[in-house]
Amino acid sequence: MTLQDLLSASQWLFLGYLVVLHLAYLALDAVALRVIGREVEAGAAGLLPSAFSGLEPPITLIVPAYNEEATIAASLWSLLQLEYPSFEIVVVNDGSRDRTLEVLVAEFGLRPFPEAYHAALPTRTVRGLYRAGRFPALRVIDKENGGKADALNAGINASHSPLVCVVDADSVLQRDSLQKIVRPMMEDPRVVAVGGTIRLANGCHVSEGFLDRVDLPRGWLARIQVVEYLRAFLFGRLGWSPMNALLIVSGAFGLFRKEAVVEAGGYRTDTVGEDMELVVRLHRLRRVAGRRRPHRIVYVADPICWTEAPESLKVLRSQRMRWQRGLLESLAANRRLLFHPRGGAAGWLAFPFMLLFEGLGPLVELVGWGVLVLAALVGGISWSAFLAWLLAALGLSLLLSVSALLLEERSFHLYEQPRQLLVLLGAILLENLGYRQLTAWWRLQAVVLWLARRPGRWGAMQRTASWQAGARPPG
Amino acid sequence: MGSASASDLLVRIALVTGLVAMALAAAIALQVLRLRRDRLRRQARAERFLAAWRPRVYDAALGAVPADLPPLSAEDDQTFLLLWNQVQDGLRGPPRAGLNALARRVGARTIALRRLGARGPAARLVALRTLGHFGEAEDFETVRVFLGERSPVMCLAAARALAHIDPVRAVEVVWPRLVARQDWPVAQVATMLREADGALVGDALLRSLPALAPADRRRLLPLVALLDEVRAGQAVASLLSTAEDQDSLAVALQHLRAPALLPEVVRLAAHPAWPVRTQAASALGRLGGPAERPCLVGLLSDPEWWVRYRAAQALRAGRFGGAAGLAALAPGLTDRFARDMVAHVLAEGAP
Repeated sequence: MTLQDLLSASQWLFLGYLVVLHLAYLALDAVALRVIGREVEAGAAGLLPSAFSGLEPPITLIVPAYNEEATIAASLWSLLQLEYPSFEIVVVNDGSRDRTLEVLVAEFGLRPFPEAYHAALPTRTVRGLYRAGRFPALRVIDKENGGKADALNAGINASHSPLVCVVDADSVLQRDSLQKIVRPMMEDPRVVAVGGTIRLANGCHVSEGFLDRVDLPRGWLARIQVVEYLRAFLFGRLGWSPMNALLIVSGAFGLFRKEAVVEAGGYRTDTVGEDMELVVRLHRLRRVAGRRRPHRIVYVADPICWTEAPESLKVLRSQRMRWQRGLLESLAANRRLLFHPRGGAAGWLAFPFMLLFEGLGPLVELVGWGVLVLAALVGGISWSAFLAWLLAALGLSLLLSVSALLLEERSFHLYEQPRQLLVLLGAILLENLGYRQLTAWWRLQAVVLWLARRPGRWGAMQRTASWQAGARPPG
Repeated sequence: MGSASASDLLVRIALVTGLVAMALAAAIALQVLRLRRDRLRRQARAERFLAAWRPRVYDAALGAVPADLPPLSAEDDQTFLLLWNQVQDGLRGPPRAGLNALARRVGARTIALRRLGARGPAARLVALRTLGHFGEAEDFETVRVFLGERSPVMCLAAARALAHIDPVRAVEVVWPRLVARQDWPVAQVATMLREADGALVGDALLRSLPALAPADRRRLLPLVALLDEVRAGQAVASLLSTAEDQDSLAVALQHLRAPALLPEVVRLAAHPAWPVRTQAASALGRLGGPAERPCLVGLLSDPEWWVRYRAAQALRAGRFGGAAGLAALAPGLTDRFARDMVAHVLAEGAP
């Protein structure tokens, strides 16, 4: 085989990969378009009575907090105002090195409480439990630092409800988010987990604990992430959900049946992708392991949680490397699900999709482009051929992104001003001019580090939380 | 040569793929812009319409149907029906005559009947709601057809409309479908039927309970919470005598109000399923007396947190000795979890 043959074969492979990748995403897009029609229909059912039926199960909101002194009080003021008949909030101070606990004690009048704490899931030592006299629904666990997964497990141990909802400390929920996310659980006892939509709060305005004006971030880095989130949630997750093949429920906002999580052993503390790992494990245990039983893991597009996106390259890099590593760790830990005879759509479609296109995607993409650039430089292919390749990659990428925008426009159209729509179209174009390649490079680094068995780290998210300025209610 | 032609083919495929994808992306982007333009136009039109019509609909709600009604164009049908339904939903009691008179003047019922055949679900949902508010008996069968739709949302809208038109018949036709259709949200359907007549729903549930398959019973059991006290008591008696599954027993204990059944509760306090034991502890706390105290003290050492918690809460009640009695229990408890729970519940009750 000559070098030219090798080059030709690698080009065929690369083209095939690109086409299959985008066709797979477009297939998800087609499913999502169908589902979004039903969601819109359900929205039209705002005509149906939305008052509480009195049958809503109690929910424990678990809020892990590590060095969150800047935002924790505002977040809790917001959560305390959620509209739901029966919920409690358990904040887990995961050994913060800043004044998170002091802020909580001062703001909510916390006092130590001799809670009969039952550690169904093992965690690092719990140093104390606190209750707020004025807010009986609020409790705080102070524990030694053990990471987010450990904090979530401690929160699950302390929860008094059959359903637990994990919420990031820097997130803002919509007033009716719990009411909406609980519906699949009420309607179908097989549902063990429900994921909601995450949107970016950068640029938005919060008043009295809730988001009252949706706007786009000022910087293009965060604007491009808005497009990414639209793609990831509107057809990434909406597409997998009807097949019961959803492998990710975001750690920023997800609802679980506590019994199912405890039975599965809780969150794993040896991964940086604990949210995805738990969901893949629930699929595996309930499909292929001894504890096999019918289950559903569902995504609902309507309940929205607003969170802050990184606005610096350094933080973005850390986040993307962590996500990539978390993905690989989750898949590796549950590899028995892959092509297992009882794996269903999760094992036969979603798992290989995630492995091939999300896990190994950066490797294939960057190696493919590297070969092409090299071939063009040494004369292996003509520059016009190289441009044809660029056109194909750009075209397919744009097609996916504008499809996500179409879904948004046909469903929630949260970005109401025409100017915002044009900015999003601009972000879609810009994404392909450096951003996409840069994130692929970071993800590739994460793949290499994972293969080299170098330990992963959560990293620190520097929050500006400027959008939370108006989060505390008056008085 | 072969390699060169393969390479040419590859480049051609890449080029065509790129061009087709670009063209599709551009077409979708244009479609997004068009959708946005259309939506903004619709919004502007709806705002103009509402500015003109809202005061008139409000006047009609107060009983004064305005004489000068602007013409209603087909484009504004949906906006009008939405407005009219919203005002109807906001009303309590009888002053609907004015609203109905206004709707008749503009032919709203005819419009609604026509829109039942519309393609968009929103149009059909609003049409069903409108017919429900009109409450004309002759529309019952027309609306009933929609109970057979695949979409649960459409079925819910039909159920609600039927409950407004004729509550008695509505429960008769909706209840069997609620039992049969696994995809209907039980709570919402029950809430709708209850809007019209809660007693009818209770009777239907009571009639069905003994004959329900276990899976159906599990799905419908939460409705016991919506029953009045008398019917709830009957449901509890029926469940305790016929059911064996833990869900049914837990629900029955949750709603138990008859002290005569206390021996049965004590028996169920040793049930293998903890949700049953939890509800048994609560029921003992609600209905029991000194004779049931040893049973509650035993439940303080239950392996399940919730059973211990409910038992401790029950023992804190006055008739079991109150907080002082509970505190006095602690030194004699050998189980650490029981002692922790006593401390927890005492702290909860502390000022």
